[in-house]
Amino acid sequence: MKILRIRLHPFGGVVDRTCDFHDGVNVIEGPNEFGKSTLNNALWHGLFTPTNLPPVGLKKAMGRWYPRPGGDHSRVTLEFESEGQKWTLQKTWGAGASSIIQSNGGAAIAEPAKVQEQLLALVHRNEATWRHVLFVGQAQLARTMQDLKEQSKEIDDIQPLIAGAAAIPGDISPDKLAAAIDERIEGHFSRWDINTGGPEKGKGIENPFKNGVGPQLAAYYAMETVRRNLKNVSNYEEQVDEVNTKIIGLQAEIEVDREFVTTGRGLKDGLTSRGGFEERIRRLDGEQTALNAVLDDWPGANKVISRMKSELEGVKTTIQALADELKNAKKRAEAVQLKLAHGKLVEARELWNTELRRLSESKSVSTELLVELKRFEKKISDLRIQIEAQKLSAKIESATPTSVMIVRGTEAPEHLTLTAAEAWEGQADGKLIVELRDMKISVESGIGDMNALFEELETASQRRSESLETLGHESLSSAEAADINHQKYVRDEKHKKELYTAALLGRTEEDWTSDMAALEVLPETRSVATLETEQATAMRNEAKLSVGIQEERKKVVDWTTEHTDLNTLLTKILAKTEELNAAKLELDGLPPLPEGFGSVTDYLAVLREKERCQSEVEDKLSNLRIKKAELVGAAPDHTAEELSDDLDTKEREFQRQHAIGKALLRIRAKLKEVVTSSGVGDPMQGLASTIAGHFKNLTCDRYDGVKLDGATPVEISGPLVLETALLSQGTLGSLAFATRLAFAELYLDGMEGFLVLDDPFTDMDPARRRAAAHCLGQFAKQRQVLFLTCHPEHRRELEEHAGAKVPTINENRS
Amino acid sequence: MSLRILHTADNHIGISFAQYPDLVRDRLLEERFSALERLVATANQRDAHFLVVAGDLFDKQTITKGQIERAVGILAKFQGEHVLVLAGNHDYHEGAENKLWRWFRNACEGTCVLPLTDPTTKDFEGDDFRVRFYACPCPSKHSKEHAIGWVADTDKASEVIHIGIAHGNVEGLGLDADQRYFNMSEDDMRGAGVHTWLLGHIHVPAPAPGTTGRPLYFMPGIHTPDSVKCTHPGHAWWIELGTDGSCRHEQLTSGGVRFVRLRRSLENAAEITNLRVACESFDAPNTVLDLQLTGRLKEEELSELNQLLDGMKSRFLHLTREQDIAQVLDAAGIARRFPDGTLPNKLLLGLLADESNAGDAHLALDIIETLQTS
Repeated sequence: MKILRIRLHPFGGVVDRTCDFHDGVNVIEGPNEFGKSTLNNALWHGLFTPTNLPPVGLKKAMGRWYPRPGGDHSRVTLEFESEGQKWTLQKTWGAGASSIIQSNGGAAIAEPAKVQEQLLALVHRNEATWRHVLFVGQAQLARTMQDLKEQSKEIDDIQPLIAGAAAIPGDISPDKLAAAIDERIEGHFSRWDINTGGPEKGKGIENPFKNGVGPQLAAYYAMETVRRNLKNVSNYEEQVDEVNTKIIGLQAEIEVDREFVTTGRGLKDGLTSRGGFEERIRRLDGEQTALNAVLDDWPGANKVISRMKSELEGVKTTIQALADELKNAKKRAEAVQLKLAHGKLVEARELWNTELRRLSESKSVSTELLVELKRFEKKISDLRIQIEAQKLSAKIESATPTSVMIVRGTEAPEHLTLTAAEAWEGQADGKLIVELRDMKISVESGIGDMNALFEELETASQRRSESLETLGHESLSSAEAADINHQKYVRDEKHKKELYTAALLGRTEEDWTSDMAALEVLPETRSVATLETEQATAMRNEAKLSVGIQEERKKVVDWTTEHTDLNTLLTKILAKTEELNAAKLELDGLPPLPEGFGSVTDYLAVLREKERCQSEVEDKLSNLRIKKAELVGAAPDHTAEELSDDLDTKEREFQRQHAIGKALLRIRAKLKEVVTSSGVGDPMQGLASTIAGHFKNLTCDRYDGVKLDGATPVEISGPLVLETALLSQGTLGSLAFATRLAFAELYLDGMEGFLVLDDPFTDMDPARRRAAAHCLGQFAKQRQVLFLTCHPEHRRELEEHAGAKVPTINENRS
Repeated sequence: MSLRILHTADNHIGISFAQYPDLVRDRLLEERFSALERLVATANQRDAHFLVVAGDLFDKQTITKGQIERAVGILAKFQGEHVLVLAGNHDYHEGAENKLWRWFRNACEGTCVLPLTDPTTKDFEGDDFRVRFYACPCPSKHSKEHAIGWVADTDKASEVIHIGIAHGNVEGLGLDADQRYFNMSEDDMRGAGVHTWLLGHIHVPAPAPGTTGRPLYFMPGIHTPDSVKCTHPGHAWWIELGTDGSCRHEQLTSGGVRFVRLRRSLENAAEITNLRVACESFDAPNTVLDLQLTGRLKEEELSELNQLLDGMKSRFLHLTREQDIAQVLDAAGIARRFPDGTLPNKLLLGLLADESNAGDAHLALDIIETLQTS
């Protein structure tokens, strides 16, 4: 961008002034109040101050530039060239505020925000860059000089200079910013555990940190304190409610019986007297009744005794008769048992006799013969097995029909009929005999002496037959069965005999016969039980009559002792009646017993119980009232409703602090990210060499380099090596100017722009100024420079060494 | 001819207003009495037969004797038949030993003020009416059971106007999720068999404006606002009940102060202007204004807002504000402050890119500016 013309109409103290600029260095020289600052500000606001600011902002930004007195607006028209196009901009602030920008042949833009947008696109660098880098005031140069002086002392702060920062107002070193953020985070979360989301060490409001409490924890404590207070107040109110509920309940209890007890207390004395009178009347009544009874009984007492004696005699006779009958009845009862035993004896005897008969009919088997028979049977069986073990196979054939007899082993002879068509084939055990007419063929097994076996078998069979005949049985099994039966009969007979012996019960048959005969002559009686009952009744009567006789006798003695005689007794009865009537009369004068009660005693007992209950309830009530009074005395200052509102506020504040804390953590993370990626797109790359180049020119090659401590320029080198802090004011001024020039050069690298300098040579001697003018002339070959100064010699030096021109300024007075 | 009643409730005399400065608190405390005085004056002016206070005349049990006597003194100026004062859940009456009501009874002696502290009926007869009031006082601050159950079981003579007086929440009208405040349903009230109910407890009036006929119940709402939760100017009911069952009612406005909470999200100058207009519409000397402001504003807008609020502070009875307004920090704002390529420029632009946490950039700016000015 190149400024062609600016018109202030009006602006500050300028009514209407036009200033036409040239390429290269434009030097505006004039004394103070000439209007340099006004021009500078008009240019600045023309480019960067919107016309649609809110009233307060507008007044703050532009108020001082309204013409005084009474001015209500200011206006700037700016013509400039950018990217080969000529633009016209006009801004009016205050009354009739407007913005309009138009390129040659282009459409006008009149909406303030869009005008500003267009301008920002044309100036390339942001507003801050222009303010801090390209509009270089004396104050900014002074600041740069101050920064440079301090370089060697604060190594940490010099890093940003090389990174393009420290000398530029508004920038901060990463370390310093990180430290500030850390400090803010530390302060915010002081005593707060981010991980647990609560106070460190769990120190809540019951045991709070006293010192070093950060905003987050403070808000938490405040919130929790109110929450606790609210809880306490709610508990308090619940306690009060509970006590009240109990009080109301107890009062209701008292109320239930209040009337009864109140009435009862009024009746108590009267009823207590009534109780005494009732008791006395009861007693007198009883005494009178007793005396009357004596009066009734005494005259007939002797007759009663006589009657009872007679009755006693009768009872005694009855008792004797019952005893006799009972004796026989017991005998008869015993006879029943005897008859039963005898019956069992007879039955046992008959069973025994039956067994004896059965045994006598059974024939015994000789044990020896039975053993011998078993031996023959075994031998025969063994021989047969031997013979059968030697099988013979035979085949008999005949050409003509022939009848033959064969004997196979021990079997019976068989008759066979043979034909030519049908031969006989068969087997025989050990021996085969074939007889045909006169011919007998005998074939034996060739193993052992078969004939001897057959003979031995024959002999054994013969002996077995003899033994069976002796025993009278056809077979061994028949003999064995007969033996088993006989043995059973023997055992049965023995058992029945034992039963019979047991039924004798140790006595003889004769004894039993004798006893049974005696039973036949016993007399008939009632049962023992009946007789015993009657006997017991009679005996009780006997005892009762005996006692009755004694009592009657004693009564007579007592009556005589107590009352002397009947006349005296009669006198006593009359006195008692009189006393009873008097008591009844007094009773009638007392309050009546309330309904529903049988007696005064009952009523008073109920009254006492109710009074006791009421007293207990009253005690409880009294305790509750004391508790209530204590609670009321300890009433909290605030109600639950008030604290609930307060808690809302405190919770909001805590949430706000919580959000701030999270934001701080995000900011720290973002800073790390930004620092990690630093250097990318950094316009200040190459700053050190650029400063060094300008500084070399400014010092006429006296200083040709910058010594770096790491990335920090702490020394400049030339004929002397000096720490920046030790440089002269003039040299320092040159270094500051070189630095500012380097900033402008780097920021405007590859783009259009201009540089505004406000008296930058003030601290330089003529030689340095000339060098600076020369250097500025070099710089202005690429970019326009607007140089403001109140020093005519500075203007002349710039005209001479930088080819500077004075802009054309016209005051329009029409 | 009809029975004329002025019905108020929830006067909460003695509420502490502890969060306010002394002068404001004194004014607010005084207003509780002043509004009551205005109601008594209105009742007298309209020739009311009864002035009914349906509970919570007092805010708490620990009310001072002086405050009780002063309240009774005001009520005693009523020129009608009686002032009937029911025990509510804040000034509950659990028994004869209750200090508040003992003092109240003592103060009432010889006046037309009748405390209604026990469930009972009160019969009155005028030239042209016979009325029976059914007092249903609260015996505690909280109760899951309402106190009106007994009314249904009471015989009700004809030719008599039957009016229930009770205190507690009404289902559907107030919020009592836990049912801790003597919760009554309309069926409960209808089942009691009275002509209407004069209630207290809920600070919002009922029935709704424009309702005609004889409502089941009247809820006057608080007589003068006590907090920002009260969005109305403070009301009472004027009720005329005919023996023929007719009813005419009118809502009276009795409050002398307003509590206003304005929640605004401010995003631009126009909204600041709207806020100013809204604030200017209030009766500032009698208004406690609580501003809860959020949003994002440009630096100059924020400055304008602060100037506006600073100017308003002295005009309002009291002004509090919770301000969570981030200064708008857009790319242009950053460009105005920090040259290209500088660390603050890059950091702030980076934070700005996270739209979900737009406030972060502002907080970072605050740190940076603090650092620069230190």
